[in-house]
Amino acid sequence: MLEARAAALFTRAVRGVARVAGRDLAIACLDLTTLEGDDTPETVRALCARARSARVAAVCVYPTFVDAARRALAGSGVRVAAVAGAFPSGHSPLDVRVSETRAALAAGADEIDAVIDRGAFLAGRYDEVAEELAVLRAACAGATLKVIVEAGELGSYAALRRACDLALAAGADFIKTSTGKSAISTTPPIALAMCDALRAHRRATGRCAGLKLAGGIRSAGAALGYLALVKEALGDDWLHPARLRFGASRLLDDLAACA
Amino acid sequence: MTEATPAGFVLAPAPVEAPGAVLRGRYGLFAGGDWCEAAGGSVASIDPANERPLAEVGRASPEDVERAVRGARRAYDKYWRKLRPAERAKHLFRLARAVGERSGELALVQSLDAGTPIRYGREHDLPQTLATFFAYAGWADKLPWAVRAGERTRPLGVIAAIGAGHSPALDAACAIAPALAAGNAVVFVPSEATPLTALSLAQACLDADLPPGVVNIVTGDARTRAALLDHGDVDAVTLRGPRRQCIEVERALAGMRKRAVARPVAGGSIFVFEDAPLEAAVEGIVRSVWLQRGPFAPDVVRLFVQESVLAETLDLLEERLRGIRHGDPLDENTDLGPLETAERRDAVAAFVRRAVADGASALASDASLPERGFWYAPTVLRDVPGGPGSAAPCLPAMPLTSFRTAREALDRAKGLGRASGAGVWTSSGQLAAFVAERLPAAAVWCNAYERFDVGAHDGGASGLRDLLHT
Repeated sequence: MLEARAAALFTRAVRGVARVAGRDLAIACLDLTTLEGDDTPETVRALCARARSARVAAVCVYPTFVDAARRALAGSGVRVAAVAGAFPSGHSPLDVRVSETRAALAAGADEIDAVIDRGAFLAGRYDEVAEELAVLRAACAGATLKVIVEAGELGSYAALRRACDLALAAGADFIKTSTGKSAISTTPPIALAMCDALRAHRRATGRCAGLKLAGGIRSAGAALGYLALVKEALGDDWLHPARLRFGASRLLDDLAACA
Repeated sequence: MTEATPAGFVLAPAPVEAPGAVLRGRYGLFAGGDWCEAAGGSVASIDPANERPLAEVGRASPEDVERAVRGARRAYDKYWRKLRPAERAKHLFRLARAVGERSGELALVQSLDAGTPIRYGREHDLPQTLATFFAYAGWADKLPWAVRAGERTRPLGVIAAIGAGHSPALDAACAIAPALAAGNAVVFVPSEATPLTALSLAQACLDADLPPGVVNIVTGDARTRAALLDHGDVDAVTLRGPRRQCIEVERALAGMRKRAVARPVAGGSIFVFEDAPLEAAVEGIVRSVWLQRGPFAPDVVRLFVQESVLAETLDLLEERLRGIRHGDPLDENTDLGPLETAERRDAVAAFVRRAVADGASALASDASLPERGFWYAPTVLRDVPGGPGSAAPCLPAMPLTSFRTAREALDRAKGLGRASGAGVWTSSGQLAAFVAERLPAAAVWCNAYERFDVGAHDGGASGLRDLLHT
């Protein structure tokens, strides 16, 4: 059912002015990302220049480049997001992950993208995952915390839902689909399952948390499909950079070319 | 952070272009391999989405029926029955390909004719229609495998097929394709609410050079059907539809030397247990009850929801119903179109009024519906009083009842009579099996409802046997 509905929403017809509005919205919600082993301060600065001119939501980099990004983006309104906490595996002692997070914030990051410990999650140690998330949440008080559940590694939509529920209960500002480093990252049913979790969280607590879709979204058509999906599954309240982000490195080119 | 304007991102209407071009202004009858005027005059076929006339459609008089049956008889005696099965299969494959060529057009006509959302028609009904023609074309030279070992097969002769209900394209395919595969000639009478789709199918018969008279499509009303049932040269009557209509046909044929192949489609129940994934269950319910009604979908007559999850289910259901996009069936973003006829809409309205007067409460989606057209918003009825007639299908109004234990739910479902299908939503395989064993239903779907597949359905080999002398 989830897959059938996701397919229906993802392939809604988006035409005419809605296409243009959707493109602008997708750009405004974009976390322009570079998470490569060969990143240098210079490539990060070049990316920031693009981010600045396109007026995206944020630039997402490794912690070591936060300082460079912050300087390059000063005064632009584009936020700096850092992946922290032993990205992308999360396999480091908790205190190491916390201190990495603190260092990124100290260097000037506005937002932290942190992974859950799938090792603990898949072994059934859900309490441990919840506790770690609480510690991370406390470490980035005041900053935006995006919790990456890495949907493609969880094995089922039920497990995905559980991971989202844990992250939301811990106070995550966003739940994020993927690191972009796993074989399956973001698919329409994964996005829809996470929308269901966000809606349930709002029903239970009244809090509206955000959704970040990352990994594998390269075409404007896909971005528009996800916008339509979020619009219908969660409503217009979520069509805003404070509630919705796209994490992508190459999407911007296609969006810019899309009319 | 930059400013964004979500208001601009609207799923604006995405209508199909120039849909009118697929229709002719006037249709006669398709009898004896060609179009002819109906002696019984004509009636306007109405667009259910806006009540505008779409085309003039013939109303067959008894003389017209006579002509069609005579044409079918001649085709059967002179040519069709003498063909080798492999040659008949060739004709049927050619017909299937011709239908495929016209499937885009047929989807459009069906949307205009029956109010089926165009996307659903294109992505579901027409592919299934095509699959049905191809599947039965494949059966035409394999009939010995459709009957018991050692049985010899012989066609019945001229079959009168009565169309019923929604999904007119698939309805026509399931009436015509198996009858032809078994070696019969067919006179098909589509439902008077949705005649245009079948008439467009006639064009595919011409494209395929089907021998004249093997397929006849005759439009009309109750008088037309009665004349056909009475006709001495009709060997069998097929119908798949509501139980009431099936009984009528069987009654009309009693004592005559004609075979009645009437398959009642009786409404079933859907059960939601507390351990079900509720979002998926609600999605499944919305699809099976409101969005995907095929010709074999036993209309759901009752939803049973376990009391411990009742409030949450109702919340989710209400929210999901609000998300349904109503409107122009020719808009690619439309989820749900109108009902086929004004009578159906009025019957539903009357059912809801009566139930509310008897103490039920109605939870309707607050969709803004077009002013003209046969629209009725999806409605959930709580606390519908029981008693005779309470199990009458009244979609898009759906009675919902809570239960505490599986046994309680089963007892109440048994009170609704035997069903063609039922659905169970639970994560427990054991519970699903428990319910399935005890429900008076021909099929029980677990975490699904009506998964139609021409290859697997009872329309396959077992259905062919009814269309043959053995």
